[in-house]
Amino acid sequence: MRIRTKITGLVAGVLSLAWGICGIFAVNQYMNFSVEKAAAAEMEKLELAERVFVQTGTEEELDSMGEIARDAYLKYQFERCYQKGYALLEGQACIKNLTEYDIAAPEALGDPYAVQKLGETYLLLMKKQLPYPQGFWVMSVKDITSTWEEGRQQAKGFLIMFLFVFAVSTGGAAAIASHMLKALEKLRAQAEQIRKGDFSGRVVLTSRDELKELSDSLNSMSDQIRQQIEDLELLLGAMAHEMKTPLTNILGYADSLLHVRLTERQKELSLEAICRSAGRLNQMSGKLQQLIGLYENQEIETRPVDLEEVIQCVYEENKDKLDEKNVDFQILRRDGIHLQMVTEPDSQEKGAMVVQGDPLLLLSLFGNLISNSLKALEEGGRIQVILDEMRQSVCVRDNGSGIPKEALPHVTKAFYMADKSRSRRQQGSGLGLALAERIVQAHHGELEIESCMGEGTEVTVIFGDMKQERSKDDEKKAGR
Amino acid sequence: MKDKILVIEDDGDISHLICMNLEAAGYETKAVYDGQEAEAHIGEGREYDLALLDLMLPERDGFSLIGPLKEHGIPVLCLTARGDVSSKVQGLKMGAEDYMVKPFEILELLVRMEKILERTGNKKNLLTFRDLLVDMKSRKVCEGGREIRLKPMEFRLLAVFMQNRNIVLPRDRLLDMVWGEDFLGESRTVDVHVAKLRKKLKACQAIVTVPKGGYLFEDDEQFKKEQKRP
Repeated sequence: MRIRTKITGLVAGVLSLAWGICGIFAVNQYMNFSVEKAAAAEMEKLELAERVFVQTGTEEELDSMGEIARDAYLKYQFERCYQKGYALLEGQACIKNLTEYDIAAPEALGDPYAVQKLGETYLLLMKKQLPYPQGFWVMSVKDITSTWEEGRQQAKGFLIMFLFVFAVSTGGAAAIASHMLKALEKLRAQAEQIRKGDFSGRVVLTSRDELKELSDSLNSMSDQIRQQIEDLELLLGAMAHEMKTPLTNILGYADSLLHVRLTERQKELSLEAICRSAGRLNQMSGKLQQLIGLYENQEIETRPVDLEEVIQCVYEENKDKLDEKNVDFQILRRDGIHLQMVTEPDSQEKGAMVVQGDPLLLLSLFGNLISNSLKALEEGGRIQVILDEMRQSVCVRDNGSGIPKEALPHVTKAFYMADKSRSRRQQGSGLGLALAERIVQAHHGELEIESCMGEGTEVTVIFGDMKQERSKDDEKKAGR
Repeated sequence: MKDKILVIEDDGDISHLICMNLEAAGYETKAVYDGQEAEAHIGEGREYDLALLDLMLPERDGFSLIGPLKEHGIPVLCLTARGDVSSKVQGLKMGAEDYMVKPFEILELLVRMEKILERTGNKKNLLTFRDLLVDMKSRKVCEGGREIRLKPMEFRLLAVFMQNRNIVLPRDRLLDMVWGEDFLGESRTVDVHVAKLRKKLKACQAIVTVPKGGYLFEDDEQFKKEQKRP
């Protein structure tokens, strides 16, 4: 069933139920009230007439009369005092009837009144006992058809009003529903477009309701998807391009080895070049895998990691390369404004700088940063890793070649290389900083890069949010 | 005399690959690694017969080098990883003679280079090998000072061999290169002509049959160089 039908049906149902109950109740109330009023008026009349009737003879006088004389006297006086519409009853029998109707079984008449339907007319029946003589009743029969008619008119008016309101509100509900559904239909069409891969569609809704919110979400979702697809396309394009160089080398050298007469030395060089290029491809694919893995798993598993240990680990891994270039590698700890050299990490108190994180990713992060610094350095340069517990940050600083100012905003893009030929010479894949940024993002941290051409580069990783999380954890622990 | 080729390519390995093969095939090469260096080289007025140009260079875009190279009469063959039509069109419009997308086949590069050299007239007319002289213009062949008469197809085959030394030339490629792509001959034709060349010229003993591969014109020059070097 269409939503429009549902909404209209619901509105109609609720309306008719509510109005039906209210209407029946109100009409009923009104009728009761009218009859009650008529009965009260009638009772007053009865009493008035009774007062007159009683004056025609005292109880003693009537008692002194014989039964027949008394009945005749009473009949006579009754006719005098009461008008049309009344009857005198003795016991259960009617002895004088001034009404236009036959009176049967007056004993069935309950207190204080009853309404009887006779053909098209409605009658209000009442009876009242005379104070004396004993066993005499006066019964009144009053035509209240007009009151009844009035009630019916009232009900009819009510029904017409109900139908009018019903029609208007149901129509209104249907119109509003179809208006809203038009918006829904637009949203559906856009979703369909997105499904087909067209992200240019925009739904602009003027209303300010949930549908507007939904359309805003849909629009931003489609923007987001488009952005991600563009990013991935750029990444893929860059990757395809970056793969060409090592592939050209591999194919070219292999072709030469197969089809060109080369000297032994040349053959050796060719094999080396093939090996180097294949290594570069391998490195690139490894980093890409890691990068895509990080895209897929937005959340990482974290546990407390001692950053000093991580840095030491990275140092051990890169020791050969660092020594080869004769690089001075220092791990420092910021203590207020002073920098304190960490000479023997094992003798120091452990856990000085602990963050929540994935140790392997952090290893990869600092490995990338230090290897970047190493690439930028000339023979005999210096790399400083500064741990700052206060800011929960780690800074990797080198005095290498630096990054050109105009290149700084782009360095975290995949396959961006500020100095292509240098980067290639150094076996750079162009993915190191892209990966570093993703890792830092996965840790809810920030990556800050400052650089000055010819003076060096300073990359700072701030684990800001981690600290908050950690303090929350601490609070929890303290709470226990 | 050898043709001199300027190789402008920023990737060291690719540059070495090209130079190595061109030298083996009998060219003289000079490798430069970025745009500025290349421009400096052109400005110095050295004579180059052809430039191989990578379009994506550090310092200076490869496209901007096409103009200066042409001004100095150096034809340009673009080598690039960009395979899209628009950069091909741009390169050719700016005056490049030809365009090759990486990765490329060595033999194809050599053939295209040769065509450009022929077209632009930059090709050296005299090919030498030991005491063999081949004059491409007058179509005369001398060995040991004695003129030897060759039939037209034999001459063309000899020229192809001398221009693509040390490279395995498959029979079907030789058919294409010497007889033309429309020739409906058999690969036996090649064998017959090679046999004739070997008979007529002593130097053509250098043409070696490569099993299942084709023929190879062996020039030991680079091997001698290497022996001298250490």
